[in-house]
Amino acid sequence: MNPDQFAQETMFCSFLPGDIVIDILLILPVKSLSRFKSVSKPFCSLIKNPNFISKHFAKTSKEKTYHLLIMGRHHKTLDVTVCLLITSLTKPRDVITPPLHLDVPFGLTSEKTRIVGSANGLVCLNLINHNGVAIVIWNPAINMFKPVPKSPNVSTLGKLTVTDLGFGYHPGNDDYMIVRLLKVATSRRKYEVEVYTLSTNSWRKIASDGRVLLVIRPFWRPMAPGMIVVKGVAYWVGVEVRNEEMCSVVVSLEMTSEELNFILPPIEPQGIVIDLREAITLRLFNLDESLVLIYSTNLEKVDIWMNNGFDIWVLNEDERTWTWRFKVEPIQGFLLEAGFWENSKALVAEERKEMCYDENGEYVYTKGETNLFLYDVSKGDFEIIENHELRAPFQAYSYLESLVPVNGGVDVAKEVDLSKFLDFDPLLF
Amino acid sequence: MSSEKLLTLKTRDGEEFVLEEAMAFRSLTIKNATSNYTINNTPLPINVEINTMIKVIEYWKKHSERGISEDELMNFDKKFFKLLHNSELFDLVVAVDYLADKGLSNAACEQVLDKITGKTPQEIRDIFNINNDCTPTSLGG
Repeated sequence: MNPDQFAQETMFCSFLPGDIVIDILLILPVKSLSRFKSVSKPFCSLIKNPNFISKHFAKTSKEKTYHLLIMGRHHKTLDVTVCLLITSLTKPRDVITPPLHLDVPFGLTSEKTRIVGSANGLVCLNLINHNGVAIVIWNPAINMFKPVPKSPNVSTLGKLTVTDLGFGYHPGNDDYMIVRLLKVATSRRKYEVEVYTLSTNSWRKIASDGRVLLVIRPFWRPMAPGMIVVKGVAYWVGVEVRNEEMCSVVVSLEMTSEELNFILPPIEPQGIVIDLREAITLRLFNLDESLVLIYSTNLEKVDIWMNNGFDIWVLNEDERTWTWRFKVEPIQGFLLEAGFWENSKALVAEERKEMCYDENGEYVYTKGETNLFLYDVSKGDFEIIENHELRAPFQAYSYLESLVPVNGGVDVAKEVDLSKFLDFDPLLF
Repeated sequence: MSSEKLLTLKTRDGEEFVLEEAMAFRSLTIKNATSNYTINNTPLPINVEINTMIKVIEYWKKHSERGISEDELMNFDKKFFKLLHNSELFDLVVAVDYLADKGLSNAACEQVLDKITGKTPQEIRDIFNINNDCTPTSLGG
């Protein structure tokens, strides 16, 4: 039924006309809306209506409120914990609500659980335990998740291991996709790409002409995603052979047309093309539906993130050239937990170690504490995040809650036999 | 001496009343209606009942006061809405939607929002006077 007709003809309650009820519901947060599903059948139909869901999400996106999902281990219990942080820019000063701990799908205990990405309120997780690797799509706001089925694609090239994963939304198809780069274990240069779509619940292999190569990633950040999806296009940093020389490129793959392109890295003011293999800091981001590259090089110090400062480049509409945005100055002692970069704010962590001594002055143990801050890059100020109860390392991801359903998903409390979904060799991820 | 132009309005239940044009024009509906034709002293009909209109005018009057501070307005709003029963609030929401006054509309909707946020399904049914037609099996995901 036409949504406006639905609004006029449905009697939600006797006091208010349908279109006013809908206007009010469009501003309600997801948790409250979920409760409305049990109020009456008309409300239930409305809240499940895809048109209402996308209108509601569009409203949420317009508000100047940034949500941040942080995953890490609880500092005492060591359980994998996910917190939701909301910062609002509509108040006179930024307000950070105390972190909300979320119900995580089937009690994750794996060390290498990773947030692959988030889009429209859906979060993609990569779970690794001793039996294998599983991928899960999760909507934390409505407490539903779905394990992704194993891929039936068998490589003709030999045994495969997963090099990287990306997750995103394809606005053209109104579909959610996971892209996976697979490396042939026995070869240094043979790769394959697979794409999963939520609507078909299946994987398909992308025709490869053998050109797709290595993913470049700083070795000390194995948890950082190397693949980013922006508007249905997957990007990652790779190496291409040109005129018998290896040069670094940003690879782009349009996931429906399967068109593959190689984008040259940014060109510095002196006219030199950046060689991404020399990066000390290297990261791709989806910032407001544009691709951002964070880059720094400092060959003297092998140091991490903030200690070097870095440059931020944005890919232009032409998908060939880059615009330099700004430089982040180095700050000592902090670790940038990339994955969250919103409106010039980044999540940074500071680890404090305190040596504890007994009354005789003998060293007993080292107490560790992790402080999380929101660092405003343009102003250079820090805002501490209290009560997160997490310890390093973390991952953080930009996230906005939505009612978007996980097709074929189940409630987070449900026990699911993961063994059917485990794939690949966990050692090589 | 005030040289404000006055407007005569007639409610749905037949009551006539007079309002300064400037204040009445807070309602886009009234503003558009008067620009469409010239009124030769015939009252402009509006689809609102007198009791609800009285509340709207009370709100408009306070929010038009000169020199009133943000704090005073906030206090007024708090008391204003507190005194309304749910049914009066809903009537107000419908009326203001018709009158097309964004400011009051947002304020009234926020009040409704406050009333329903965090409430259980049964509490929500009580507020809106809805019958429970959901069986346990129909509540799936």
